[in-house]
Amino acid sequence: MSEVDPPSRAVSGDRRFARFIEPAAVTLRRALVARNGVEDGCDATAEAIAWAWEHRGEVEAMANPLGYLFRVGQSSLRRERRIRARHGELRVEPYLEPGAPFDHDLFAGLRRLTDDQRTAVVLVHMYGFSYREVADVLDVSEAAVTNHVYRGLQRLRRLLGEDGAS
Amino acid sequence: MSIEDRLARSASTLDAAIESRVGGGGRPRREHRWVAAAAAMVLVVGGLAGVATLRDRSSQVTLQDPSAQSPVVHTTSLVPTVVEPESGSALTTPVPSDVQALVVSSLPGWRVDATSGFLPVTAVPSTECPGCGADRLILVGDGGLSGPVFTAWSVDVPVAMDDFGHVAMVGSFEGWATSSPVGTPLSEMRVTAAWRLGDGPGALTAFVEAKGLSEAQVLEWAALLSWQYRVPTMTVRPAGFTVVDAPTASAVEVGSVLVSSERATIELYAINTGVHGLVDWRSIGQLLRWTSEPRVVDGVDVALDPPEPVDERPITTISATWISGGWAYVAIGHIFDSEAEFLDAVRALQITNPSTYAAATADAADYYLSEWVITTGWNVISVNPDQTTPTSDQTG
Repeated sequence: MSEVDPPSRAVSGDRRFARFIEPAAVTLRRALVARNGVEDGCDATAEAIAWAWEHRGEVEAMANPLGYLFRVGQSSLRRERRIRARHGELRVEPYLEPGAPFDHDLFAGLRRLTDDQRTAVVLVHMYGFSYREVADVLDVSEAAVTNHVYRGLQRLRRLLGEDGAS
Repeated sequence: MSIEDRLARSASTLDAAIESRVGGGGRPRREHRWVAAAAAMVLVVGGLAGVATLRDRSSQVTLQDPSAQSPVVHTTSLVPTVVEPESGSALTTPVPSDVQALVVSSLPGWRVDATSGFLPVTAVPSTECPGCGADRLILVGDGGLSGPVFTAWSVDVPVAMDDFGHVAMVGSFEGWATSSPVGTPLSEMRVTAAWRLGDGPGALTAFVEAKGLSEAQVLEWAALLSWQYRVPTMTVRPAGFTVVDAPTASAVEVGSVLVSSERATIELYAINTGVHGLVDWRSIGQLLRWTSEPRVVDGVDVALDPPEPVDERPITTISATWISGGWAYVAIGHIFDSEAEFLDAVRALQITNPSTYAAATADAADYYLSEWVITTGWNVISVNPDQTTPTSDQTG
């Protein structure tokens, strides 16, 4: 058995992990919100981050920690059985100031996409992620992301009009 | 404007919604979900947290004569279910710990949606999770599962104890302690402390964890523990507290079943280690992390985690925890119009025999305990060797 870590080393480790997890949380939250809606996405992110802190040693050793934490968040919602009841509920109205302008038709269209399509479309075209980055977060192939984005945009165009004009 | 342009312009909208939600705006939070997250954070970043206003129950605590503690049984192998339990309510039918608690709903229109079956629990304390799978001393105070709880255990794995916050004295030993910080939804104090029981690489690390007690009380009680064995004894016991019997199951199992009507759902989790199954750091019930209220249902003490906010309708999440026989149960309800409706549905959970259970679950889906839950989650104690590899999410 090894000795207890000296405090300075552990604190340094926490800071290092904080430098990783803070920007990662932003990406994670956007992905989980795109997939599950604002409320559940934020809750899932909080739980994934809490899990990450408890297991930071394991997380730091992972090849794709973001992809794993995305599944941690998804699992937490499955545990709450909220995915089945609320999936696709990407509603922003309850969280905006009353009367605040937003593209209502676009968000209504996004809610009509599959979870995979909506997540990929939001991350790529709303937040500017590369296909590779989305593939990492969702832990799927780039080809799958390409397919989700392509089909998602096709469906959005059908729903919102051929050219998508607002 | 193209679809792509509209998407790009809407990023600020979605970010504003997220910021509103994260910052506390928008719809009310489901606070007890955050309790667990906050509590988990307390464990690992306790040093960053402030110290809460203490809820001092010292006036309730006096010291009494010692009494013996039950021996702790280490479990090593599974025993198949061969005994058919008597049928009856899961609330009131005591199922022995070596018989699987097979539960269905007797309410008309309710069915079993999914079940995980029963999974072996083989977790042991580790450096990453010294509070996982440890045999413990547990004292439960007035109020049963809703009242104050004090637990103590030790591990022989390396633990970075400075994770636990500020330096604190346990008798003559220097250790570390953390308390639930101000501003968390945890309205009852939760205290965790750790200290080394000796010097050198072979020394054990001792832990105590409690809710509903002040940090000063917890440290005082910690100093009263006797560490002759891995699981401590408390030779001078606080009045009003009862030592929970050690689990007797020859093999530790956890099971889950989802039952639902057209509208409402109950997730039922059961573990055959009684109260011990509720205090593990990956507990099915979060006994030490959630604040619950006492109820008596059909003569059984039930710890109820009410909806947050209390006037939420329909209730999206409400849960009840109780002990019956060798099993601890946690029923988590979704989409109920009232607490009474939920408790009626809990009353209708029935222990049944294997053949009836098999028929009721024949068409049920697999309610798989995800990799996170199985290996680390704070909801279910279970380590299934066959399911420790993360799998891709298939939902949606």
